[in-house]
Amino acid sequence: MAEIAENPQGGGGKKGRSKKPSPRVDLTPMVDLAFLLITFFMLTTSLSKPKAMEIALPDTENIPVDPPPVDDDVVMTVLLAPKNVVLYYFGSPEKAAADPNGIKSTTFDKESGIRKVILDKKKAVAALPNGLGIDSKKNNKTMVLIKAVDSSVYGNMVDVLDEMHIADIKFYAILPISEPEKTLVDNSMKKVVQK
Amino acid sequence: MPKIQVKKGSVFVDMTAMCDVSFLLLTFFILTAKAKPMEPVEVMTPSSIVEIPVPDVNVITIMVDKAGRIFMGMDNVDGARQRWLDNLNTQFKMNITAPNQVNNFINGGVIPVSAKELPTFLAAEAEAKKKMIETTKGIPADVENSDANELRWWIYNARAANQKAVVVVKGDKKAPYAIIKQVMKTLEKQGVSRFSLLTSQGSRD
Repeated sequence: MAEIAENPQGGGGKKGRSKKPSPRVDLTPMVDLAFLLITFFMLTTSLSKPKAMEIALPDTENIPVDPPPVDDDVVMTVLLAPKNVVLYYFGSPEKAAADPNGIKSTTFDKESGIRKVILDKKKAVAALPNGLGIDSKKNNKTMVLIKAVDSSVYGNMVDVLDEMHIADIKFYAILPISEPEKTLVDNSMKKVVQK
Repeated sequence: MPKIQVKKGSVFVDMTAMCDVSFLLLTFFILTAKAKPMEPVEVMTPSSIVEIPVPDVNVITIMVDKAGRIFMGMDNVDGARQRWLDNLNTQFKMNITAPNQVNNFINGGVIPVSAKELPTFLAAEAEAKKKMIETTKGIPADVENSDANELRWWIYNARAANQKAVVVVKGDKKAPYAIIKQVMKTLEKQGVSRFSLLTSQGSRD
C-alpha cells in the first residue's frame, strides 16, 4: 500500500505522462515487527547485573598470641535473631547481660532501625575524649561484631553487612555466636513476642 | 453560505522516523542482550548498595536456595568444566563418560544435585530432571563431620580445575543462616577466606 502524495502546487504534473507510483511504502507492519522484537529482547535481557559484596573471613589459624586489647567503648555487637529482629549491645557481653537494659532490640527500618543505632554509635565513638575513637589514619574506630543465631535468615546478614557499607564502618566481623549470647537472644525474643 | 470545507489531511502518518527509532532500540537491545543463565531453582538475592559487578568468567558459584539446599556451578572457561568433571569422577568414584552425560554436565550451569545423584541426573530426560531437582536435598555440607561434608570436595575440585576462579555465594534472602554458616566454614577450611556474596542492586524495603 502506498500513500498518494498530494501535491497542491501540482508543480510538474504534466499531462499525458503515465503516473509514477509513489516511492513511499507503508512502514507500519515493519514498525510493529520491530517493536515486537524489542519487547522480546527487553524481556530476555538481564539489564541489572548482579553485584558482589566482598567479604573476608577472619583468619582462624594464625591468631596472634597476645592480641591488642580493644576498648569496650568502641565495640558494638549486633545479634541477628529470627523474625527480622535485631538485638544489639555495647561493650562487653558480661556487662550487657548484667544490665537489665543492656540488650536492646530494633528492626531493619531505614529511619529508626539499626542504621540509626550504628550511626549514633559512630558519632559517640568519634566524640570520645583524647581521640580514643579515631585512629592514626583518621578512621573511626567503631568496631561492630555481627553474630547470628542459626534460625535467622541469610538476608538479614547481608542487610547488616550493607549497613556496614552505608555507615562506612571500617572494622567489622562476622563471628560465631557464643552460648551465653544464644540465651540472651532467646530471652529477648520472648520479651519481643510478649510485646 | 456554504460551509467552509476544511481540507482533509492524509490519514497516513509517516512511519519512517518511528521505524528508525524502533530499529535503533532493537539494535541496542540485541547488542546488549545476554541470555539469562539457566538456573535450576529460583534464588532471590538480597539487595545491597555495593556496586562491584560480578566477573563474567572464572567464577565458582555456590548457590543456596530458599530451603537451604546447596548447589554448585562454575563457568566453562578453557574447558574448566571438563576438568572439573574429571576431578569429580576420580573423587567420588563415578564413571561419567557417556557423551550425553558429559555434554549435560559441561553445558549444565549450576548442577542441582549431589554427587550420588549426579550420574542419574545427567542421563535423565527433562521431565525426570525437574522431578529430581524438586526432591533433591542438595550437596551435604555438614561441617562437624568432615567425611559427610561433600561440599568441600566439590569446591576443592572446582578450584583445582580453575585456579583463577573466585568463589561467589549466591544465597536466597530467606535461606537459613545455619546453612550459610556451613558454607562459610567449609570455604574457610579450604583456605578461601575471601569470597563474594551475590546481591542485587537496589534499596530494600
